[in-house]
Amino acid sequence: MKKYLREFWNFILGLIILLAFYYSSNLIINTLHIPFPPAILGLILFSIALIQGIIKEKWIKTTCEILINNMAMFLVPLFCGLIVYKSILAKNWLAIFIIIFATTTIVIVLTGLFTEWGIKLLRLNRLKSFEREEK
Amino acid sequence: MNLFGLISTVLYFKLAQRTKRIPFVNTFPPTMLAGLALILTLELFKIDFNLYNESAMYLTFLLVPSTIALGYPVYKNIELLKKNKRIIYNAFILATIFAVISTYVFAKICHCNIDIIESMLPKSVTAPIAVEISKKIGGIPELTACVVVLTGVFGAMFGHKILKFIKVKNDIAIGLSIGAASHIIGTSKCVETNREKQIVMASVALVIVGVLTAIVAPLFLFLVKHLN
Repeated sequence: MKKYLREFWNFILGLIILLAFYYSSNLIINTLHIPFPPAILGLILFSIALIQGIIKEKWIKTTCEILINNMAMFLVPLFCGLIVYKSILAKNWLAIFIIIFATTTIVIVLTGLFTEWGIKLLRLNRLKSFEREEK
Repeated sequence: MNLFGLISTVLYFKLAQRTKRIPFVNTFPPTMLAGLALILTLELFKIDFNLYNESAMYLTFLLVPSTIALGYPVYKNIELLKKNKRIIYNAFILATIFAVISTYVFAKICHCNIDIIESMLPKSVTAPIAVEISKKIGGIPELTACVVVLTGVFGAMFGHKILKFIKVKNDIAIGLSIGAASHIIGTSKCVETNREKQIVMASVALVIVGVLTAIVAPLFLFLVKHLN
């Protein structure tokens, strides 16, 4: 029982920290008038704070794990909201499918090839400089 | 207070997660199965969507803290980003720009309306980030959510096959391209391959490409609108 209570308290504490990041980045965006999603500014600030050690990992570990594991569930109501826009989907479903197929393939192929060749080239260069040093 | 939306969503989602062992059905993510089942239920019993959303919107609100929570996997795997730095960063930028531009070009070829283009631009990004971007650039968040899930399903189904076909074998390259193109749903397919590097790279790529898209997509739209 005590364990669950502590887990729950950890979750709430982490949630408060995450929401604090959201509302403070909301404030920054509203005062500076930048067209940028506040949650993503919050994500950037949060990562920096974590890496710099301003926020301790143990404060937010439980919350982050629970939220990320259940992220797919939070999406379901939005997916259902499609019911309101079904006329748009009915009119454009073929175009949407073509776009998804084509662009996803393009991105996968280009990124995959770029990274594969890049890493190979880098390794080749490293080997060459290694040989030069040996000589 | 009516808790119908909240309870039914959680219940349907937990049920949809149980379909993992059924062949063919398990190629689709639980979000899609639960969503379709809920849409059918709402249509069948003629329940008003607003009645459902009254309590289900609390779940949607949790997308905001989950977006911020995505910083945690980046922090956990920061060491990996420091290796092969230059190529990985360039790959992130390349993937983002190609995703945005190719989506725009294909949408124009298909004669889509501007609001559909706006909601499709962030489609290769993980859902909470995509929804935020779509709201900001004037798209329809609901359509974005659906398109994002479909993109993920496509990437999860064919991503590894495409990469095998073009003979990409490096785990970093595979993880990066799948994470960049089909976000978390594609990444779940990487988890099945049990290759540590692939999973880690994919989960970092999906966050960073998401952040980059938040910068690139509005800029690109702005440029296109002012050049016409």
